[in-house]
Amino acid sequence: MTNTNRTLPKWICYSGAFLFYFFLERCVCNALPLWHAVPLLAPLTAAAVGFLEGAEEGAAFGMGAGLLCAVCCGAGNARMIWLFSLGGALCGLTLHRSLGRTLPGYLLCAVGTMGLVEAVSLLLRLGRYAAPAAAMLPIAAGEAAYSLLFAPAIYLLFSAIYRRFRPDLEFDEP
Amino acid sequence: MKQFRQKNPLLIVIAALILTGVVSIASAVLPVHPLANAAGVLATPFRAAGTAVTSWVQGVFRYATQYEAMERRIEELEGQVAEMERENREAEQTLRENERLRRLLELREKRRDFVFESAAVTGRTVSGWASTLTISKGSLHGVEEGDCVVTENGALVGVVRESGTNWATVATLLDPDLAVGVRFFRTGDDGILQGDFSLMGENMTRVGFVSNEAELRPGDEVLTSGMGGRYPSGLTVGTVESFGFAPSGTEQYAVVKPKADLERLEEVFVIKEFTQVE
Repeated sequence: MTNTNRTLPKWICYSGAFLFYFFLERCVCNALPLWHAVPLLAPLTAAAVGFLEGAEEGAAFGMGAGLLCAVCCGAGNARMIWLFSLGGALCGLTLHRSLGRTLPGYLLCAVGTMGLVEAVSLLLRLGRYAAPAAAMLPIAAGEAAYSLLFAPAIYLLFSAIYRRFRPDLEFDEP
Repeated sequence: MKQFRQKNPLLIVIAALILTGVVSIASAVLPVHPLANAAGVLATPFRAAGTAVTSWVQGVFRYATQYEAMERRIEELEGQVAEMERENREAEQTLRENERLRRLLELREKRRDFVFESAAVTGRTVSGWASTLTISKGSLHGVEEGDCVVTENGALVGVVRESGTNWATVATLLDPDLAVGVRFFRTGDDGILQGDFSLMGENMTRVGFVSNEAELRPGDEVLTSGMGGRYPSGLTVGTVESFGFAPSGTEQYAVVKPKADLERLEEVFVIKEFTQVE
């Protein structure tokens, strides 16, 4: 299979994997909160694509994932579009070059991505509500921690898709 | 070429920023974003299926772990029902006397007319940032943004925040974005109910802007005040759990436990229209 023939099926598979985790988050995890929080899995999928494929692909995938999340989660969540795009781009630009395409490397990306998402959410809410930061920090931490529980599973699925469509490359090569 | 490829991620992020602005403007101008409405319509069957499965699992779990607690709760409720029946008989006597006095004074009869639309709860968001329900009725059924939502017993659940074609999102009493005028039934003092991040995890909400002179007590009943005419008055909100003075010292606040069991709701009623004669 040539590179051109692999591109469309690969991105269809990535999109399918994203939709699986999106519906898992929206239809199942939403009803099963942990630490008074529900997980945000969409930014972790953008981080996975950026980590495996590169900055441009991560930014574009993050933009699409953010757009779907924004229209499904309500008007006030439009920031997800640029936030997930930025997260995907940063994961592609930095870490996999030095850490290789490995699970620990991805987990660092995932922590960084969730940190970025929660930091922006906190700052925007500090400006909008009169609530102190001390009341909102546990919520942000709980949401990030619950989301990161799913990070290994997300990486396994996305890396399986990556290996399926790029078997000619050595997987752990930086 | 290599430099151009390295610049591409920035261009995509800039495009994402522009798209964010377009979506934000569209959401602000339109009552409900067309993409959001389409996504809501498509997701309705999946949401309902997911909620049905998780509700079944939660029901089995609760039955297995809370059977004795449920038996005790039934005994408590039977006692409360007997007490309420006695109060109801006294209230009926008071009502008849009220009607007689109104006729004597030639006053208009107090009247509350509500038009209800029943809806099933098809989704629930209980994250630390928001507390919302998704219901199975929307603009096609006359549900509009700002409509009050109550239980079958008339306890306030929340207010419709967004109404799609066949779905609607309800901000519950715990949501920090919701603000409702309320009144303490015993003392007649007014306040503003607004969700609080630190109380949401405990299924409590907060009533602020209460007068310093208000003499609140735990157990005081809280009702909607109907100030401004946007929401009907007299809807049960909850009971006071605790109270205190705000840091400014110029007002009090009360921590209120909602009457409606927001975690177990399966059916609600949207008040589409109401008229009140006081």
